[in-house]
Amino acid sequence: MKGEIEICDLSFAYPGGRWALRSVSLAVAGAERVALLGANGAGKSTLLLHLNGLLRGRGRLRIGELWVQGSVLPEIRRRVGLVFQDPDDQLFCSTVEEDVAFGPRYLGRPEDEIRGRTDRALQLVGIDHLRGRAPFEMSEGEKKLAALATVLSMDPDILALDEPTAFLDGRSRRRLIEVLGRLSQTMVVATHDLGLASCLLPRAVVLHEGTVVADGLSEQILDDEDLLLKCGLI
Amino acid sequence: MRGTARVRPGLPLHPRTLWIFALCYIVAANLAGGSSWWGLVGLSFLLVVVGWMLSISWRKVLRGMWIPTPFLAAGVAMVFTTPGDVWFVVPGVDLPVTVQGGWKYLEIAWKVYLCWTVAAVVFQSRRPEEILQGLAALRVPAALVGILAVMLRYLEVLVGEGRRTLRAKTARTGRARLGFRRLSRDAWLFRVYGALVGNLFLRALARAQRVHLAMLARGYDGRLLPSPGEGRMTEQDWGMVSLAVLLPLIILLGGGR
Amino acid sequence: MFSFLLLHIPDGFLSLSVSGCGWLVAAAVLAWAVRRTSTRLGEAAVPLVGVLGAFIFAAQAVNFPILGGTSGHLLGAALAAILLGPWSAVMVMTAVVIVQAVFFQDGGLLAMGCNLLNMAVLAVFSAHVVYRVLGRLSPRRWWAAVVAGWLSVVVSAAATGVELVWSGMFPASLAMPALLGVYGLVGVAEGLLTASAVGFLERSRPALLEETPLVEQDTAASLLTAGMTATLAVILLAPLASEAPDGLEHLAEHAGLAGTEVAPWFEVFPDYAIGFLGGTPISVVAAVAVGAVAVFALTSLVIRSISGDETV
Repeated sequence: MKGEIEICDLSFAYPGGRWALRSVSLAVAGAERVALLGANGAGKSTLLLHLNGLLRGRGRLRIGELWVQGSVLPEIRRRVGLVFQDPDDQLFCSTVEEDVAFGPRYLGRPEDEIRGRTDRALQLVGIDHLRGRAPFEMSEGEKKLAALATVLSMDPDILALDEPTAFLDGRSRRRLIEVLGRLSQTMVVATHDLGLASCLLPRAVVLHEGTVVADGLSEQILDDEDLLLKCGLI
Repeated sequence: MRGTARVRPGLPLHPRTLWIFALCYIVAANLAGGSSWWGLVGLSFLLVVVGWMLSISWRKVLRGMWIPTPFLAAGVAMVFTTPGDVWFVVPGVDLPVTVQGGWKYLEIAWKVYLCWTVAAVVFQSRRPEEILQGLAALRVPAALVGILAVMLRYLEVLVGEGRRTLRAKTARTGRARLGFRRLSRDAWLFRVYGALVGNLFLRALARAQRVHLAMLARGYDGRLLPSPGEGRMTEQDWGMVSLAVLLPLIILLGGGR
Repeated sequence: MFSFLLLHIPDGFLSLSVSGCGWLVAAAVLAWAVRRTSTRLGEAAVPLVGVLGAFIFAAQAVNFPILGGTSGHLLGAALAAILLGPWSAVMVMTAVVIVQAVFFQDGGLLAMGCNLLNMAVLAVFSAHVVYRVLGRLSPRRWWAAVVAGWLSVVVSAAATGVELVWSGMFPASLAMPALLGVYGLVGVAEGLLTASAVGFLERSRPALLEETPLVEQDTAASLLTAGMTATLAVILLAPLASEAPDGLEHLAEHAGLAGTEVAPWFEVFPDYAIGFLGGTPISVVAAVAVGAVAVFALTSLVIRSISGDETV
């Protein structure tokens, strides 16, 4: 059950009437790694925001043994670490160390545990030397790693990443993929980066105009040119 | 703004102490002058000593001293408006400069630069987040401190976005800079600037909503938790606070107003 | 480049008593604004107000050349009031003034109370009131935004002038015409910029100005705020009231009746002064303030007893 995701018939419309998700159903096993593919506006980010209850659509959603509802949101948000597309949205404290400690602090952990979690998260992504830096002093790649560290310090069961390799140069992209490859959590990654999907994420789910149009092995889906063309992925 | 202007490690005073010192110093500077010019001399000397103790870069401080100058330039009118003995009359405009006006302006200018410099020395000796910790330690409402912290964090981001947008708009006009050369011909530029500001607002609002979501995603629920390591007051802190509190009293007892 | 907005008073210009008064009023309004904003926005207050404070700062950082060698930039109080409502705008402008003073040393620390009063309170509420009132007169609200922007700068400048006069820096006969003259012109640019930004938002996101959760739509609160702002302005300007005889006194002098009036059987604050404070500006302000509070309390009592409405 740990790290499992079950989405049952999820639909969501933004104010103004645009349907971003239509009857999406999906099941992800613990420790599984899934690529969420789709063109811009397909509903990938919207789906990710549902995983930790930031958006609440129609339908049901289970994280581990908990069905997502108001009373369990704090625990859901502890279990699902959401990494936003723009790291500047996620790094809202003055230093990296403060940002990484933010989550455990709000979980009410004691100070020595907060320090321990912060150290471990920074070491895991390899930016311990940047702990005292301000976000604006860092490169885009470093900010992405810092954003990842901010959710790792909460010891999540599931990682939901929104376009993690966007705006990264080759070296930063390789470094991030290497870090993600070392992690053991369940992973759902919304991405346009088909290379990332093929090397890191064995399963792919394709969203098109808010619905799931394909779900299977990444290898097979990425070979289906007609499907990729139809969904705006190439 | 980012980072400290130190050349070597300075006295490790708590940020709260620095706030108290700056405020008491400014009160003392306001009380000094009149018949007690020695007070201003003493405060000037003290400022140099404190700057040395905090190990700040005087070059950086002095570079910023132009900031109060426009206000002082506008204030030069007081040499004409202060009643008193005429010192000389400005030829051409027949405006009498009074002796009392001259001394008053000198005193005001001295005080303005002392007050400005103590704030620069104190606040440039620490990182911005430490300055905010000092505010929190002085029991300023946590919501306001939280707002200031977020604002500081996103200043560079939004100023950068504004400058990039301005650069992009300027490039499309074929000019080196967007400016009003002749108001009748360039009035349309108000629409350009208005669109720039309007766009910046939309981007800021979207960013604010995303930051809010990011905070919620990591467990934020509106409570503003005290930052760790508020720190106890050391002997040096108490010494500095005592000096700070005594400053205005010394000036008052010495004939200040 | 000489920046044309000189409203951040540095320390050393204002007397301690004027600075203290400024802090008292600003702190009271700010405390209320913190409470109102926290209640309305909940946990969104810190991120929303913080980032939008950075927006106003960034908008102020966009310098535009006006005439060779000079540049201008937005004050932003009117824009904040129109887009965010008065209380959120007070918070945003407060954050801006504090950051400018503490981290850029633009404006004093003791003088910050007056700077907050001028730019975060008076400028915001004057703009808010004017925009709400004039905006109801026409669906095209851009001209209301022009007047709101202009007035925010003029009111801020006038308050700065009053504070400098009270501090004994300049005579009112010099300071007020000079400040109002200069900032009457500067305010035109503020008004036009504010209007064009609001106009852009009305064209591109018309629903935003109605739907943003930050905007307060409470008409009663707006009118109450308007009234209180106007009252506060009168209280602060009271020491500058003309000492020339008013219409009735002039008529009495003309008819030869001056000096024949019967003395009142008791006086609370004769000649708008509080005894132990003497004839100082502070004494006049305090006397007028006490009178205003008394009138407000009496009016509330009367309306309550007539309408039976506990919310009045």
